[in-house]
Amino acid sequence: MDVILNINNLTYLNIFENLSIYLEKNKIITISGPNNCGKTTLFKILCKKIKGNFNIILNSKGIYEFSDKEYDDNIQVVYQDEKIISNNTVKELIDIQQERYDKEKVDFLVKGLKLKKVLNKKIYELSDKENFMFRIAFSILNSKCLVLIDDIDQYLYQYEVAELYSFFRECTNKYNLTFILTCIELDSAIYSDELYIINDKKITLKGDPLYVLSKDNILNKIGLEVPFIIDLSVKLRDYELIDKIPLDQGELINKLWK
Amino acid sequence: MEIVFKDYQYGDSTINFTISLNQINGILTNAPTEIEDIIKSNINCKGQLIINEKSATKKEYAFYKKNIIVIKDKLTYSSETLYEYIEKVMKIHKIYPKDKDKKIKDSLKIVGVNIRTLKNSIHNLSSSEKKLVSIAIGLIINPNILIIENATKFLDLKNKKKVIMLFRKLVEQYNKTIVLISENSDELYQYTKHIIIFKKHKIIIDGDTDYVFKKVSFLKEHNINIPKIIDFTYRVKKEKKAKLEYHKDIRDIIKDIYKHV
Repeated sequence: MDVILNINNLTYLNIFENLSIYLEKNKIITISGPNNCGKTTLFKILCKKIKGNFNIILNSKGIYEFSDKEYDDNIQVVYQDEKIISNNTVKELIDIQQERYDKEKVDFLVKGLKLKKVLNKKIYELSDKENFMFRIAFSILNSKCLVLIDDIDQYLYQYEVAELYSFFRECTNKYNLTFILTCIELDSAIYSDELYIINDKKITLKGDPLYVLSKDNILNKIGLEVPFIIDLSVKLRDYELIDKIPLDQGELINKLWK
Repeated sequence: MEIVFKDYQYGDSTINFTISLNQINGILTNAPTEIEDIIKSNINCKGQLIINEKSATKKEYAFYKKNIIVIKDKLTYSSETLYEYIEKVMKIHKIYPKDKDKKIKDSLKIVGVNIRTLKNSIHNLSSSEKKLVSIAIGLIINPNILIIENATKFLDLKNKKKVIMLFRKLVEQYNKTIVLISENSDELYQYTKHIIIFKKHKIIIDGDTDYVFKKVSFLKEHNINIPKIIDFTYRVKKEKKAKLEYHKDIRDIIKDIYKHV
């Protein structure tokens, strides 16, 4: 297993107690949990906004051993409400740093994140959603290793989140990136490689998303909603009406009414 | 009891719709500001306001406008503390209670926000705290009609249930009217009695929530998001000709499947 990030026994205030996470390279990981379980705090620790005596290893090196510049090159975070404030247009902001950026990568991101129509807009004219997509593009442009996105579903429809997951999948292969996403709605988590659920200071569930999502009792108890089709399938499996949990509605209907 | 918005001009469109008083109404749209402008009868939206089957008098119209607030999606980005922010909102709305601190703390307690957050700056609050605080501010202002954008977004299941219980209590015990504006059809199907579907400056349909969402073919023609539980039943009925009923609770649909599979 090629581990990129290793969080060992993280303890912080009353939020985490001996929390450990090992993340593999070039994967998409979703972290979820009830309100105020520490999802954003974890990101703040990972990007060193919150400092402490934490044992966190990025690419075989302790995170405090990196210089700030070197660390920024490796890890980029998109927070919920943070906004890029600038009088420049999107295009101007990209052009300013064009020597740093690979043109092919810029074009790929502009296309994949549907930013073409906002290229000539001033940054302050962008809607919340456009600003969010722009910040995602910038993070991918600036990171060589890890991209963290907080509240992935905040401005997007469910189908748009699903499209983003698929786009991130392309980025993992093309640019050797690893993505860690947080969300409260679990509908799109099924598209990730691994799903972690944080509750009560620790990891309550982790693993293949379908395995985690099938633990409906635990998820409901801690305050998370299981996506409808998985919830229905798990319950139908308990009644022995189906044997396997299908991922889509059509498949479930065809299994029930062969 | 209801308010009818008759012949309201919005852009090039003329629209008509109804809000049921003392109920939880829903508006399914991805353009909340447009419909909020109409409901608040903002300056660029003119039409006839009918309250309980009579054209509103000037006095009634003024009373209506004074007694309606919109709780936006999230609190605006601000570096002031939560306490300072709430104080500012109270001043804007000319709310001067005898015991201001108690009023603020009680409202936060009702929505389940720790009163210690009053000292935190707004931008340090979590998304869920911002959402719950904005509802608490709605309680402090205490209007007759609360329009709430994406009421349960950012909330986990426990907080969602708490907020919906609160809305029901406001309707049943305090005769308030709630209007939930959201693009989430699942949420509106579960929690509202009356629904208006608004798309591209037009009202697509307006009526009893259960009735509206059963018109699946019509909604699909207009590319409207169908609640997942309805969509599943619709597909089963259409593709497998099974006689399932439309339900709100997943347990009821399972019983139905058990009978018909």
